[in-house]
Amino acid sequence: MTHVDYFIVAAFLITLATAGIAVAKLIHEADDIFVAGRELTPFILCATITATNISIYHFVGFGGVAYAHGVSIIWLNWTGSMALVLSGLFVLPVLRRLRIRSIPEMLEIRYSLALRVLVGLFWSIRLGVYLGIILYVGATAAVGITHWDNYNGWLLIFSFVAVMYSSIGGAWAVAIMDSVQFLVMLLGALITLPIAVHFAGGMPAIIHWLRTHNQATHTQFIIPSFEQYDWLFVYSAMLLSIKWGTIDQSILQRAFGSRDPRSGAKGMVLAAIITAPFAFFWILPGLAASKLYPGQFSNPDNAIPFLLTNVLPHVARGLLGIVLCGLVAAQISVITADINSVATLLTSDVYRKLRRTEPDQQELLRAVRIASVICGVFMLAVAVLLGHTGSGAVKANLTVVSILDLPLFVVTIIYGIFWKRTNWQGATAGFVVGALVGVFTYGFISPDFFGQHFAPCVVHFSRGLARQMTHWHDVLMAHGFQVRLQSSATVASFLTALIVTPIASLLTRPTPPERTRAIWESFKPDVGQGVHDSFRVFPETAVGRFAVSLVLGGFVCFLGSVAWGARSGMYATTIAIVSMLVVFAGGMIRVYVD
Amino acid sequence: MFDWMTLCVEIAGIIIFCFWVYVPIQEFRDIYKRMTKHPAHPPEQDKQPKP
Repeated sequence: MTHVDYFIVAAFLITLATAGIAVAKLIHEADDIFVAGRELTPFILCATITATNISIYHFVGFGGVAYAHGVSIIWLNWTGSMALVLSGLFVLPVLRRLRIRSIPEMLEIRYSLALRVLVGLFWSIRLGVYLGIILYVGATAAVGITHWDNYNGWLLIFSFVAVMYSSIGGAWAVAIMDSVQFLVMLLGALITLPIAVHFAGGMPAIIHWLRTHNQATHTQFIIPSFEQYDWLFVYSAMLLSIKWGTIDQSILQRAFGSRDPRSGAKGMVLAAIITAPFAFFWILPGLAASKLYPGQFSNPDNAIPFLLTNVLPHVARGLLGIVLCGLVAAQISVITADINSVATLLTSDVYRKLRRTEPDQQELLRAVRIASVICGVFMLAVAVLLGHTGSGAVKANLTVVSILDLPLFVVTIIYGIFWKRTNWQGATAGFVVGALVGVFTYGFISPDFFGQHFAPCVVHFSRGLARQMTHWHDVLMAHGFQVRLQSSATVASFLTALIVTPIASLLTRPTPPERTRAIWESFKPDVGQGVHDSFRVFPETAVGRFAVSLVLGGFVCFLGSVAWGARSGMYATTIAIVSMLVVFAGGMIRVYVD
Repeated sequence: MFDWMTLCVEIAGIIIFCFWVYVPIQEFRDIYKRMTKHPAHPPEQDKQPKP
């Protein structure tokens, strides 16, 4: 990196750090920090959801996967886009009408205060750990790109910038700066893509090279053979994406800040459509790297940083600095959104509910700012710890947090919105038992996870079980079946919650209907609040029904085409992509025309 | 050496970029004016569960 690059990055970081002060004028009460005063318009929502969604992990991590395994990783983004459309049309309007700030708040309205506090605490810790991981990835990438070998120094810089503006400006600063960071991120991507592809000889040359060098699966969107990112991966990604789109606090909290349910739905559909082509900006440089540096990296995460530092300085001075600003923007936008979410959870769901008297607005403002700083210190501690333990710990933590999310999805969305008979006993049992079964299954099939923390007999037992499971896996593989050992924990937690919740609900007394009436009333437009609200979850007009048919029909076609792709169907990829576009078109008609 | 695939992605990105410079800035300006000159719309009441 040259002095020009360092100057550009430093100026950008200083601008970010002081951004919170500029919007402090908009902060009058706690809801301005939680949900930006519920004033956000569709395009601002779209920018903030997109910037919150895309992190440095997409550019470095997914680009690295494209380098090592090919283009099929793109489905992780595209299934996420479809999930945003489905959530925006069918789930967000209900949640927005409840005027909540967080998912745990919905759990109180639907189930009980205890479940709200339990999930609020759990999710604060889960997001705090996730923040530490994002910080770790960012600092590691920054060391690799800038060659300023000071991991802790980068941690401190990123944490300071993120905590500064999110604690002062709250959701307003996050929304405004996300729009700016989205542009910086896009600028960096617009610079990187043509240069990387040009150095690799152009996309046709890259595709030809991959096909003639035994890497044909690199160019396949749906891989029929048994590989890490094959057709089964697409289905897993779809399930996890629906979970992400419907309960992820950092995404939904942005949409809760919308002016009305329709604006929120518009923002989510627009974000889905914008993110879809955006995915090529990290997939194609990854493919270019696989031609430029074949087999050079055992850890594919190093491919994109190496590509940037070796290609960009040959074109012009300062380009690397601009692209690095894009990566920093991707990093900081996710961290600030998550800090804002954790501060909301700690203040709104834990502090506010554990106090005997209702705090006034000034007390809440103070509490949410203190919570932001506490969250910053926590993520810093996690990142420092991860710096010592390495990437294995990162993978283990990411797997565990994804396992814990699925029981919450089951009790909040599947049973919380779509089955009236579920009560608080069933939801608590489903969430707790599902989470425990998932974590223990993961621990038993990954003995190293338990190895350092549990008694030798547990470790011994888990190793034996892991060996047995590997044996069954090999036997099934020999007969043409495929079992994902790592996925089994996620499936176990999901199925346990799916089974335990209705059983526990049916064995206990039903919730009085008047207690949960607010949930069922939220399916219809709310006319009593002076807010323009005309969006129906189940449309009554012909255009609305046509749009919903397009969305659901496109989604079913997509699922079918992936199954056809598993049987090497010739047009399966084309149909899958067209189906995704039909889902987008249906979503646009539903929110803009109906 | 620019091929049609790279060009398509670049053009899509440039359109989104230009659009983004214009629309959200205008929307933020409107919100900022409204919130600093006039009080914000009355806060929406929470939907508390009935005991």
